[in-house]
Amino acid sequence: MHALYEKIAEILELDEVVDSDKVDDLENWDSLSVFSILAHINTEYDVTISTEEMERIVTIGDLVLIVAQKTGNT
Amino acid sequence: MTEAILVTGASSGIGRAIALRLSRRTPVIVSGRNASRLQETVAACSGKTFLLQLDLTDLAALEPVVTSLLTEQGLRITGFVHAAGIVKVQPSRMDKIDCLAEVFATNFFSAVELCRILCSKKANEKRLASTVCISSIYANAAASGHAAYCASKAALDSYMRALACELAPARFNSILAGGVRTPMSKHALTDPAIAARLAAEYPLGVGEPEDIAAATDWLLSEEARWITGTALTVDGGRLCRA
Repeated sequence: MHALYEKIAEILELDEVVDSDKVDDLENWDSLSVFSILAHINTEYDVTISTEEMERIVTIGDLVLIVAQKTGNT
Repeated sequence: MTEAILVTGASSGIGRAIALRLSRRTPVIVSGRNASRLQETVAACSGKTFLLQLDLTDLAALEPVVTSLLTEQGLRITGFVHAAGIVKVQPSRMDKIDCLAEVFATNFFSAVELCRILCSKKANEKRLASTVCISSIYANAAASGHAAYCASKAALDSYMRALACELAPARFNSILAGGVRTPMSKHALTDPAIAARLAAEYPLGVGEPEDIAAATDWLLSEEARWITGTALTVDGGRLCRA
């Protein structure tokens, strides 16, 4: 999952992101960034995250956990 | 010599639907990267079908690979459909040249190179009569996060118009496709929120690959013999909605 943290940081124009980062506190966490992250996850991990699931995400850790669970990498 | 139509991106989605439809009336060359999925397309086609495994980003390899197939199989390509395409969704601040180059290589430069090869006397005896490139409504309408994709499709439309003028009587057209159910889009379409939004945006609903295939078949055919340099919108009414 290291590569996923790096990609999320790149999309958000940050040096790094960590599990405890609250997504609503991240400066570039907007609809375009979210769409880009979801598209990347879909392409690279073949994982789809629904709008409903996204609404429940509070931290970066929540997002990565969903991907890990859906890919069996927990 | 056997006359055939070449379809890129034929391993799935719109390209596969086009290959299946065309195969009912003419020999088809199905092209794509994934050999096993191409075999599935070949198995589903009706008539004489040839498989051409191609990596469209390897532009220098296109001419020798295509020429070999034509020579070995005794083929001449009279119709060309460029349905291959990739989308990279990302903020424009991430649009570095190497990333744009990947999108443009598949969506645009490979079509340019294949048109050049198929219009040449040496490779194809100038037998190419009709070309249809699968473009997108996003060539004419903005979509956040899709800058490279939009630009590559607009380039494709413009190039078709230029070739239509320069290389008549060969015909060159494109199709501005709206959203259709393909493996690329099926994940999004199963999300109830996205499905509801699309239902509101498309007066005739989201389309099927066969809708694009039907328009492509017609544009390639003799029935469209006086149509060239056109970008035909096939989008279930999406662009006419204010």
